[in-house]
Amino acid sequence: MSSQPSAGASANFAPPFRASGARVIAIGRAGAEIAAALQETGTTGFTYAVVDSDGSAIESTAFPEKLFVGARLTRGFGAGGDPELARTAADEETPAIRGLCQGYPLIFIVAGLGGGSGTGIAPVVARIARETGASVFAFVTAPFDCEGTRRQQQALLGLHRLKTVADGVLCLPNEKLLLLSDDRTTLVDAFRSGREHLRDAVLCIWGLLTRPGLLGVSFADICSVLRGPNQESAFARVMVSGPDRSDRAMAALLNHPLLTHGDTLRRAESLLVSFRAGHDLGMGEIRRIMDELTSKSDGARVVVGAEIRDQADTELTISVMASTRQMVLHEPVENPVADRSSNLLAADNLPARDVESGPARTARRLAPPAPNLTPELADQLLSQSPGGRRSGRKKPQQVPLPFEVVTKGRFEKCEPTVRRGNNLDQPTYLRRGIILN
Amino acid sequence: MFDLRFLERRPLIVGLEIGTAKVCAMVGEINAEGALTIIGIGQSPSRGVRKGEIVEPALAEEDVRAALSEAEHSADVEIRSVYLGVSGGHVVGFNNRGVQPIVSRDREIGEDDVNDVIRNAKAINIPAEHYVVHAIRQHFSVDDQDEIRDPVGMIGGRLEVEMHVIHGRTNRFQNAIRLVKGMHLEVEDIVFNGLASALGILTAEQKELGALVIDLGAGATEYVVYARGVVKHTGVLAVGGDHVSQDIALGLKVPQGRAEKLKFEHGDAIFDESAKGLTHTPPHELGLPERPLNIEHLRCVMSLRLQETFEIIREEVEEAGWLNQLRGGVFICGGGARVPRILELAERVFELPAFPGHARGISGLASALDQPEFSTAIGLVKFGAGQARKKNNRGSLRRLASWSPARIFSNLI
Repeated sequence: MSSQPSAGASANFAPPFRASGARVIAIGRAGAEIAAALQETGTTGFTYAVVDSDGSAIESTAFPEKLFVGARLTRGFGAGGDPELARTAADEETPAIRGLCQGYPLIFIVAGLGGGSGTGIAPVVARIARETGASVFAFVTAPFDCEGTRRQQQALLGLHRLKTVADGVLCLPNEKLLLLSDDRTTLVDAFRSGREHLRDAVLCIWGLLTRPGLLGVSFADICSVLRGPNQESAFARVMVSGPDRSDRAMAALLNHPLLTHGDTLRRAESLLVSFRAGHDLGMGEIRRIMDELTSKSDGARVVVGAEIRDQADTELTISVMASTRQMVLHEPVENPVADRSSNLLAADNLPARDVESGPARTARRLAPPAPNLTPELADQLLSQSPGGRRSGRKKPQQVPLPFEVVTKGRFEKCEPTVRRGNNLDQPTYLRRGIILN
Repeated sequence: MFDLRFLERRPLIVGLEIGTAKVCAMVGEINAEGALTIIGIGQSPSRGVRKGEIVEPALAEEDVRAALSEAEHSADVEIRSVYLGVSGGHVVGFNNRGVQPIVSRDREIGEDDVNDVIRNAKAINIPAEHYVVHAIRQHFSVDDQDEIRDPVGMIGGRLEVEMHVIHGRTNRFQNAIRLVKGMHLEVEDIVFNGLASALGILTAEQKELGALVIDLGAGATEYVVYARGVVKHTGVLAVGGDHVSQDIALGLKVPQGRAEKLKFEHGDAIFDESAKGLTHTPPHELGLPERPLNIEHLRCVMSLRLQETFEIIREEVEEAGWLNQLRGGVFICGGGARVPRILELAERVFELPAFPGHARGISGLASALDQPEFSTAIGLVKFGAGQARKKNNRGSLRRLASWSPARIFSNLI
């Protein structure tokens, strides 16, 4: 650990998290609501602060510490869904934000991504918080699909920015919550359910860090699951009680919409499973559940924590945090031709095609140069989209680009050095998810 | 005893290393006393090689030509044949055992028995497209009597030999061989680069004590374990200085060439408190203001990569069971040996004393012998000298696929 950057230094403070408490910084209206949900649970150890660019919203929150950003830029009317504006506004208030973070070794950021304030301010706060030496975990929601693609794009961008600066990010896409509900679910309920999930996640992390469990989970363990720009993390919690609770818990987990019905488990690279129950928690139960989970997520790194509550209740709570590797860095492309045809050529300007459809093609104003295709390549391309041409022209589709494009650089022409599933051509710091800031 | 006609006929031994960062040709000569002297060096920056393997033959050929012609000028000789160093991630080494019953009536072990047992040990299960670069005999044992160096003349019923076999893909080796042959040069033999470096650096005593030689090249890192006087383990990790530079280029968002420079000017193998908050503002070529570069990040990125490389090697050596036999320590050579505090990092990771690799037991151009980058090329010349002497001694020109390093040295000295 000696070569770890600043996170390593702050990890030295890990044990006294309990004494110092954690700072919860709520950003935007959604953030304030999540913080309110947290406060309702009555958990001790949290000090709340709200940061918003909307003057009226911040007035209405009940938290004592408030920071209003953008007095000059937004004149108090909020960022109007523009993250850049909110970001600039937050940048101007750097000293004040630093003041909010100072003295807390652990900072939780809660926000709703997609709008202006949450998306723009959260990464700034995370960066400043880390600069003060704190460990930063962010818990955010992503908007519903029906809120429009623009908000989705903004949320993705904000999430990515957040991931590159925070120690750990847990994102809950609201869309997945719809799977939990039905048509009669009210709007209020839908949003409340999202808040509650995030609240549970915060409480779960806080509990793991502060309550000495039977099977302890260290700060580094949590970071290993949540840290890194490559990770996509999911959180699910099930509570069961009564007889054969382990079987029902397992069934609930495997069908949990937030784990995409077990698919997340299959792709998971690391798993954090935390048990919480009374004294009657059996070794057999843990083993059964862990066996099932590890068999589902083959090869994943698994961290197990267990906590025994004093109350004599029969309820068993299982929290699962799974992180899947999202970014695919220069994996060998199996069929580069297929790849190119779908992205670049868009089945639109093949020389071979003129032969087929005759010379009467309307000239485009901007004609791209004909690609250099050998006859074999062209044949291959044509055979890949049989009949595609006759059924009308396909609209070229703009595919989303991967978040972090790491070029092969010098190693373009040689085979990747892969050792035990790790591509060693990728920078070590990226593979280990170490944040440079 | 020394055959002067041999010197007249084959006076030169040339080692050619087609590396990822540079092509290096080293010209050696065996003088009248039988000692090896380096009389010339030629080198050229390499452009056609990645990870120790040729990817652009045309460029590589130009570079090899430049290096060889420089070597010819520098030594004032004409080069006709070379000992060619090979490397790459596909090269693997493993230990094998061969058994041969002694059937002669007096049960005395003869040369033929030794050759037979070695042939048995070489009849190994390697992939069809692989070629055995070296099959090095480690020890013989006669009827469970172990650690015999030379069994000829002993009496026994069963002769066994332990061999270390280094093999790799035939096609990849052929790329390099064909390139050299295309210049109308003869390839005397191909030699695994890691082995050549170890030959260049280690003394007989260090080999006996046990030593790990790590050649931190630009494209690949080769490592060789010597214990009880013989090669016990070899391997290549296709990660090298290029990876460090690329990491820096990505992490600091600078061009590869700048990263290369930063690595040596401001880099450090160990990341610690001393780097906190350091920045460096390089002068801009056009006189425009430049953004400052964060030295802390540079060292963090660099040390992570170097540490990982050492950790992988440690893992491999540990799994093979040789880590606790390395009483001589770790020797670092290759361009990576220039990274500040690399020895300290090696000491930390391997928990063994670490030393810079300097070529030994050879005389000649002092400038060449001091550089860690040249240990492979010098080792190639040493290997060649050993082979030449052996051929001369035995009067046979056939390729000797098996040789004992100890014997080469006893011949040399």
